[in-house]
Amino acid sequence: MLILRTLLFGPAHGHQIAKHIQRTTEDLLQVEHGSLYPALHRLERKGWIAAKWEPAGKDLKREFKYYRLTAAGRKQLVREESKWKRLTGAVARIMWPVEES
Amino acid sequence: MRWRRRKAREQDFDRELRTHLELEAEERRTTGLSPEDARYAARRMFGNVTMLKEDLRDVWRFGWLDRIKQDVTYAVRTFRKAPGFTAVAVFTLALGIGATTATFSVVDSVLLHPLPYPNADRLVVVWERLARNPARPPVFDSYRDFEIWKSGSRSFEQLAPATWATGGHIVTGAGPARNVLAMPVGSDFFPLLGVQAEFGRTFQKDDLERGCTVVLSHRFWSQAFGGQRDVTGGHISLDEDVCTIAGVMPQGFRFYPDAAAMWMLITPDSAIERDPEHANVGVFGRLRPGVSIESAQRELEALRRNEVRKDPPGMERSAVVYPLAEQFAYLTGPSLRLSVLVLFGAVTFVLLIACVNLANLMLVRCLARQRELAVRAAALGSGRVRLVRQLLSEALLLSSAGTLAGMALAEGAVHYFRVFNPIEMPPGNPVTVNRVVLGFAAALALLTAVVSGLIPALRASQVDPMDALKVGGRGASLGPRAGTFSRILAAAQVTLSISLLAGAGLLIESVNRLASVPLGFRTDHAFTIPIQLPKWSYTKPSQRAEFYRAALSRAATIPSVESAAFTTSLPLNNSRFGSNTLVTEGRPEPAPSALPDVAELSITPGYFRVMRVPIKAGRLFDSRDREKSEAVAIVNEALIHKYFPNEDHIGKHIGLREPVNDGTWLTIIGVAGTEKSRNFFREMNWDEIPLVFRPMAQRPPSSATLVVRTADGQKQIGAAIQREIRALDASVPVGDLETMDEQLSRVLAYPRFRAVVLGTFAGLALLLAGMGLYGVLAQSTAQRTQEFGVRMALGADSRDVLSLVVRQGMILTSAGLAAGLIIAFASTRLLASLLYGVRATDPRIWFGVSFVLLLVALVAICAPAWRAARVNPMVALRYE
Repeated sequence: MLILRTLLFGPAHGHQIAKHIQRTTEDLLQVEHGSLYPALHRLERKGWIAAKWEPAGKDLKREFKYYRLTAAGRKQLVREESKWKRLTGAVARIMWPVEES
Repeated sequence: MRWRRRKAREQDFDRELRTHLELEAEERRTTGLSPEDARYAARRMFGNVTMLKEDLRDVWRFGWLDRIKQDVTYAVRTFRKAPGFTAVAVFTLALGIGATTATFSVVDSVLLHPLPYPNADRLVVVWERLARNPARPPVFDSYRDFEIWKSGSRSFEQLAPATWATGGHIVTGAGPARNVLAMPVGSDFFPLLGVQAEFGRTFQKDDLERGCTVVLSHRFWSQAFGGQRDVTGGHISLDEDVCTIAGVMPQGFRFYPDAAAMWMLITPDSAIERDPEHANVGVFGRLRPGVSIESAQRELEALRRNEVRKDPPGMERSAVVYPLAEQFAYLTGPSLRLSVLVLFGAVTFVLLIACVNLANLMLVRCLARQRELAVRAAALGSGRVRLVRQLLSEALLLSSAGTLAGMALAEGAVHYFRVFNPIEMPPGNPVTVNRVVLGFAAALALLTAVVSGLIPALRASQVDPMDALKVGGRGASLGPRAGTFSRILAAAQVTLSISLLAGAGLLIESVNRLASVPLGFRTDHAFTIPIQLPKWSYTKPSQRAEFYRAALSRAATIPSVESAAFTTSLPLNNSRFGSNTLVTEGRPEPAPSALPDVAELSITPGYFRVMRVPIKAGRLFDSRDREKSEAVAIVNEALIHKYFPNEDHIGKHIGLREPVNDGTWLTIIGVAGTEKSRNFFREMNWDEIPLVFRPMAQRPPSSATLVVRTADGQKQIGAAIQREIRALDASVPVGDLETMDEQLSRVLAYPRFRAVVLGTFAGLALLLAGMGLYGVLAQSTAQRTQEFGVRMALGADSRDVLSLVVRQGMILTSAGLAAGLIIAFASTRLLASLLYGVRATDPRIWFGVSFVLLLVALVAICAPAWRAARVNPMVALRYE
């Protein structure tokens, strides 16, 4: 869910996603970075995100595995968000920081 | 291909994780850490790489199929490590599933599979029930009733008469003269069943004007015409008639009775239509869709009530309608349905015992494996669900192997059943391992896996891994109640098997009594050959009497023949019915409603000698008793007991009335011993019918059976007798020779089959229960080795330990036994109609089977008890 949301802003690789989640949740969700990957792969398997090895924007020598949202993933996100919106408190704050401020 | 893809994916993981770590490390370095520390920090932040890779692999694995494959591979590996356990488990299941599947194939054939006709579920047969004795099996309808129903009924799409009550017809012109069953049927008979001829055609309306028309059975056609297809349109001589052959039925076409050689159209000038009141026919019908059997029966009954104002006194009757399939089974064996149900019930008990056995075996194995399971569950993080799945797939693998072996067993049993024909089966559906049966076996495999896998799986998943590992796998158990639980399972096996044993005991005792009761005659060394005289050439009684006399004197010239005689009926071929009413000179006539109970038969003088029936008083028939001399009779003791209990009976005058009354008074000249005879509809019974024997010279029948006693009992005598009778008159058909022992074993076939099969099931049950008992006790004593060591170190001797274990086992057995006796007591009542000479509650049977069970239990208990008693305390304690 969080991953899909992160990818809404554009393709990202694993490390970026991890950092982003860490930042947006204001370190509330302290997870091991490693545990991100099974989740990523699961989403990939479901066809909600697609993965591709691409050179990084500024550093052409290095390739990262970029994940991007697929059409199915976008739909899934909409579905999930409507579900999640009904939830309250901390979760809402994490999900919609802009609306709150 | 697959593994290469997998390898590529692994490399992909590696690369992805590496880039992540590098980035993280770079980031850390910017905060001022040394490269070394940064790398470590990144690692720490990241978590366990090996476990992660494992997780990623799980994500990409081929879902459940791959996991099952893994489970199965693991299970196979486990089984290979424990071949003894595996063999016992597969063997147990193979027996249980094999026996159940084989029995089910019979259930399918007799009870489930529709008859091989279109709309078979709407086919019915209409009989009539005599009001004076509704408990008796129903009887044929009169042809007159059929005509009434045919013209008035709206419940049926089609209605047709067919009968086997007319007896045999003599076929000439196709090989030697022979007596065959030609069933008179209505023109709608084949359309009613919805079957076509294989070639030629079945009956048409215009055949009714043509005289005699027949349709041949495939079997008769290939025997008599050797498979020539140009027979249709040709002719065949049946008695005095020449009949047109319309067609030949396909090989697979079957109807009751199976012996029918041909079907013969009932035409307006046939005997049946000329005397419809007295013609006996069965009426077969196809109900209109949506019409129930009950409403059809009411309609037929009302029609009959309207037309037939009054039945003759004593012959009041009413219509009864039955499903055809049910009646086929009933006519083949009145107890067939019950037998099949009883045996199927019994075999499900066996299967249940096998399941419980396997469940217990697996439970015991889980105990032994609990360290391994705990390690897998906790340390390697398999999780509980995974563990249950693992045990279930082990059970499924075992049950699949067991089912495969069981199928082979069932296939063998069905093959045996079809080749050796231990009992006659209804026409229509041969017993086969068909798709339904295969599906049933597959369902059994699944069911056994669930039953026998789920119990230990749920138990095992409750193990606390910490406990199991802490105490070193000893002393701990699968939950505090696992031991108790497996003991309850063992007791349940005892319960189930005692029920089967009791049932088997009762049936075996019944068949023993049935077979060992003195019959009043001897069956060994005796042969029977039915003979039919052509009615048209033996019109005069004196001609018939002369034939029988001449045939006997020819038979006497065959060297091995000790004695020979003709008789109109024999005790073992279902031909003796008490269908006459006795009248006595000087006594009032019995009321018309009185039940007929006396059978009349004609014999030649040698009958009693051939049959070894003793003469109790008076004299035998001899040459004085001729056509024109005083009409005489010999009666049996059963008749004397019933009608002349305290009187002098020699010289009394008696007569016979209904259905045949020739008005003559017979003088009793002798009394013979009572022969027990068999009534088809009362299988578990020997009838003692009052008999009136008359000399054949005075009452020569048109058909009779030659009975011969020989010195050596060799069957070759048949050919010699056939030769002699052919030489006397080649137009007389001679039937097939049978030994009287064969007839006896056919009479006993159903009871014996039931007893043997149920006995086998009970034996299996006993074996499995014994194994179960042994397994549980062996396990519990092995667990308590240390305790026994302590006990012995503290002064108990080996006898104390022995009695401790034996007592434990016996408590288990007795509890199971007590519960089983209660269940058996309630359920054996169902067997009442299958018993002879023994009551369902006979205490001797109950003590007997309890004794057998206790004996087996004792053997199963003593082995582990003995081992426990020989525990060396030093070894047992040091073992820790």
